[in-house]
Amino acid sequence: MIPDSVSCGYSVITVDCRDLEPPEPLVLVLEAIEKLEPYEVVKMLHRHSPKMLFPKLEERKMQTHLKEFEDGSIELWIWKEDK
Amino acid sequence: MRSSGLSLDQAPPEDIPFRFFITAPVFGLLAGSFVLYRGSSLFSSSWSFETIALTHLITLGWVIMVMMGAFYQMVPVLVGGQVPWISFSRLVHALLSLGVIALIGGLLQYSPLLYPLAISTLLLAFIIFLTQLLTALFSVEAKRPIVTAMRISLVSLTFAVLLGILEIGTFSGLWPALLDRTILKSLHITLALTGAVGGLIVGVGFHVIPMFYLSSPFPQQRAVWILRTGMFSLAAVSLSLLLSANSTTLLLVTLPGVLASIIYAATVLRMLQQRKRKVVDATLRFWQIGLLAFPFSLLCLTVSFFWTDERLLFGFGLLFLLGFAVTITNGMLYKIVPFLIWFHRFSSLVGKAKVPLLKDILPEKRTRGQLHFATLALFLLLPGAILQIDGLVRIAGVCWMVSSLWLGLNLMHALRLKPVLYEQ
Repeated sequence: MIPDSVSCGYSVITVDCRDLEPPEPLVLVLEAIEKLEPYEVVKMLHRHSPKMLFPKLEERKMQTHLKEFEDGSIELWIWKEDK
Repeated sequence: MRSSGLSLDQAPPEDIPFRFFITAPVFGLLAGSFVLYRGSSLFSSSWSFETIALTHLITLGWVIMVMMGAFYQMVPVLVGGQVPWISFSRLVHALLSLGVIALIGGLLQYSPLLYPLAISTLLLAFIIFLTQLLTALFSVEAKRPIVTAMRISLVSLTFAVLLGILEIGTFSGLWPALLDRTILKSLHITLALTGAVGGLIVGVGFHVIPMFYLSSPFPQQRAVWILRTGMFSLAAVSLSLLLSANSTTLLLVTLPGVLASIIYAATVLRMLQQRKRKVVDATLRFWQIGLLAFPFSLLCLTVSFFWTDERLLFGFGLLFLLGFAVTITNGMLYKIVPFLIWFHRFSSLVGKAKVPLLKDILPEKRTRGQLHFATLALFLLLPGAILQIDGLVRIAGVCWMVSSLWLGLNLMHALRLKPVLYEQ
């Protein structure tokens, strides 16, 4: 489910990184962000919290919302700050 | 399901871990040269100053050097702890390098002035490092086993350093012996190797094996059990040594730790066997060799409590240091260095330009040959040292030199890679 902090009407681009080794998850997510259109949101699925991705998202002024699950896996929602 | 705040950018500048990582093979080269020069005489008595010099070329020059770089990098990134006064890390590296050279020079009796220099530089290096890292690690919650393992490692290192400094001061005549030398030596070895080195490698394994090899996660409850058992054994063995306990007591308190090491090694080997991507690279082989050597080294140590034979101590030392610690840190350098280069130099270009992957930064063909020489050095040195076959020991020394030089060149190759060069 899209977190409350993301407005309704966004289309979701899912980037499933659960079977990828570093740095492929970062590459895929950052590539997806470069192509991100207005009213699109990236949903990243990963085995663990991608701590090294966050500074890169901050550099690109992206908004994020992280959900961590009991098994350590995560869902990271990423969208443009000014939307 | 729960939400959590995001980690800010706390990673240290790239030069900090890299200066530690690139120095390790230099000391490896010196250690290999020393083995070539002195041959099997280095493995005749564990009390010999030359043997102590060789041991510290490996422990301080290689293992602690890599460990320090890894701590500076991993504590902020993996654990979320903020390392204070990060620019002092460069001073720690300079002091440690100088301290190792001074200590080795002192042990080889080049000048009596080298011992005070070794004590002051090493003590200062460790005081700064331990203050930084203990502050960072004890300011985060110990929710994950890796945090507990790192704390065990640092606390053990603190005691090991104090004992080591006490010992240098004693045999250089700076102060009288405060502890029986045999007890001090056994305590120093136990805390430094099984506590400081073993603790960190075990903890890092919990995290990096699933991350880099796409394996299932290390079972959380088992990780907690392994750490608690290891911690119990470490504390109980230390106390037993301090109280001069008999061999049976030592065996009883060591066995749980040995069992924990066997379960750890078996679990990680199984995780590697069942990894999602069945790629076999040099780093995988380094981990597999290291994991096999780990429990065998501790078994040698355990048997040495009953069967007083220096060869068992050399078996423990070689299996633990070369077989386990050097081998696994070597393999991890091949994962961590390319990843950090990619992160610091290429990640900003993603989506804007073609960026290399890890295998482009350090190709497998470069690392595979070094793996062969590292393995050959280990398998020649073990029988050579234990059976006192001088020729075999010296050939192992050459293999070790080649392996260290090759590792250094591989790391330099990766470190020289810049975006502008890659585009060309």
